[in-house]
Amino acid sequence: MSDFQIREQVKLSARRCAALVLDGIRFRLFRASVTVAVVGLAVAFLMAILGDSLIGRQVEGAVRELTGPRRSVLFWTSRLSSPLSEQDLAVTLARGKEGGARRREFTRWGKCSEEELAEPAGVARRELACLEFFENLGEGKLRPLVGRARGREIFSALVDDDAFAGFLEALGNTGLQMPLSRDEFREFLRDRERTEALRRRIVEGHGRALAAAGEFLGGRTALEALSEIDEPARQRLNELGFVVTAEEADMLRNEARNTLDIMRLTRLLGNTQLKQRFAIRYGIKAEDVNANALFEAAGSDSGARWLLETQAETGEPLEMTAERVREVAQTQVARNKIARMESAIESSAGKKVWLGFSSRVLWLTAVSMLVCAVGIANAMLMSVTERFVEIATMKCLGATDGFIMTNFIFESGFQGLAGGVVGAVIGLLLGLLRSILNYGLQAWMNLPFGALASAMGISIVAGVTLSVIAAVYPARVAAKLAPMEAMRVE
Amino acid sequence: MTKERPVIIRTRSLKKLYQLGETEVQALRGIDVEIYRGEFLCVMGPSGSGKSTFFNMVGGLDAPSAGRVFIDEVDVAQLNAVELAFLRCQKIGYIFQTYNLVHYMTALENVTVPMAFAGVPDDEAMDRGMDLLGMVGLKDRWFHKPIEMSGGQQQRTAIARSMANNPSLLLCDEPTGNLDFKTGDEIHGILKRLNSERGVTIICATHDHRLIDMADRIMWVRDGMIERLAQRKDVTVETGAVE
Repeated sequence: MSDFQIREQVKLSARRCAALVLDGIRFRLFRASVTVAVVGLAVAFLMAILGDSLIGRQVEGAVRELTGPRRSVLFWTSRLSSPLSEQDLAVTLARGKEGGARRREFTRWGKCSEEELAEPAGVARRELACLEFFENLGEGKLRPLVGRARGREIFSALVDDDAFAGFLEALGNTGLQMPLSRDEFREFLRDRERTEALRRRIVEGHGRALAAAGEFLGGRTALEALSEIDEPARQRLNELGFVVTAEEADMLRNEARNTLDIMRLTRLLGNTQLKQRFAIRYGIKAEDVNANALFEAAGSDSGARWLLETQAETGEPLEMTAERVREVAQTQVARNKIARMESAIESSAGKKVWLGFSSRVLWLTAVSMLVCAVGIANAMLMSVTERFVEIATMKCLGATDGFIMTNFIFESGFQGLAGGVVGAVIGLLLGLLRSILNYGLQAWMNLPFGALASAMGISIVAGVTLSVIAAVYPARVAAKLAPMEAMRVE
Repeated sequence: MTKERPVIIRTRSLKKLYQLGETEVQALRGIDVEIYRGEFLCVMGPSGSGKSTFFNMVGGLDAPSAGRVFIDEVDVAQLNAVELAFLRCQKIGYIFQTYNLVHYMTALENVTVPMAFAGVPDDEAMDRGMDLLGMVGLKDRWFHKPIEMSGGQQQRTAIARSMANNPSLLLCDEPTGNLDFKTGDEIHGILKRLNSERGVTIICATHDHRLIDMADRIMWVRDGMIERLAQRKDVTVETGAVE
């Protein structure tokens, strides 16, 4: 006799839900804008950090390329004038490419094959990791662990079985985590011992090459020798075991000349009379005449000519053409700019832990995301509380728990999307601004468009995801609301 | 005569216990009542009498602590959440004292919400929605939002909405409680017409004497019990006092 058959309530399509939600958001624009602002802020923060880091990385790469020759010259002057240190050996072994020039030098000096270098290279990598671990320990922790030994002495001191047992015991008490497990560390110490002979051979081989290179230097400094390196000299170096390509030799010669000429120009500052005239000519105080001012002035044609003439009048004439002076000065000005950028990169870099981002950056981002999630959850909870009657009425009219839940998740998702887009744009601008302040023109020239676009994408997705996750709890509260709340009279 | 009429709602020793902190409150202490199809029943009682609780039980909005509610011989306690939603959507219409229209929807959209939940196609929903608005005399105001309407107009829209899926039962909680005398009359007229013309069972919690005057039966609730259940003709309704 019953005329009604109880069935399951139909499910509303996602499109329908979305349309309803958008209507609701339009009606409560102010409330929605609060959530949008919260998401926007967090996403802007994320995007600013991502953008800045990405541009920074790009600039870093560019700067590295620009400073390559200079670093090469430094590297060559040091290896032509001083013996190979254990640190240099380890770093070169650990980071050198297999079959690369530096590795080939080692095979020549150590009289071994490329394959034989594989083991010391592995040892070097582990050695660097362990060294870093020990260096990061304070004196107070290091002393009980390894006594008076410091640096690489630690490894030789621990080869002894008793010493190692003592070390392990002390380590167990501290609860410190080494980069290698105990067994691995023990194995490393043995490997290190075993490859000791080969490493010593390489260092001694380099030492012999160095002694022989005295003839190549012929009483000149390494820098001077490099500035005059020609084909016979290059071949002589190769005979000694060094690997220098013709191209590298050209680059070294150029750069060494630049460096020498810059030094010669800098030495002009020792000429007091010239300094005084310079101060008068450029209207600055004599004590303000420094290398920077000198190179800035010499960067122009007239400045370079004036400098040469004045030097000739007041002291020993400089044997350089005006054109060369200008060129060198300009090189130095550019170098200074790059050096400033390098220091900016260094100060902003920190240790990279994940995808090239420092732990500080990751930490800040994580915290900002967390704050954002709490903010959204709070805003959504308030929104739910304000709409108790509306939700309950909807349930009286036949809304299922699922519909209410979807409704709020959608709402938060839409707001997250809006906030994400706004935040990503603001963040991009902030990131650009910051990197331009830090790196100047280099930032403009090295904008990683693709990476920035994907960073924006990631930021927006992060905003939406965050909003959706943060809305789960408030949406559950709403869905579980008893429909009888609709009867409540406020 | 009434004995032969089919029963739409039957309650069996309906009890409800609320836990308020440490103390337990007996909102309903066992209500047994049969409400007939097509009946107009008014429920009266002071606040705190259990009137609202009774309403929630009968409307499938809350589960009883003990006892049973049958709506058309279906035990409400046996239904899961989704079936309850279906029941509320299709078989029961709710009218609230505060109208509870959705603020950001037009009158027509409000009326069609339950149809959307019932899966009625949009075109049909619009047609039916306009008919319902016509029935309550608001056909020309279909595009107005609740804030643009008077209280009486809002309540009329709410009645149209409650009738969206042709329910056989209408639950009204103080439908004229927020309205003045004249607008209250309009609402009464519409409810009476629904009852007599469409045969909708109406259960109405009210203090409004004119509404009580229209009822078939009147039920007094006090302290969670039925104090008195009487036919309209056995009760004298006077302005100012009901005895």
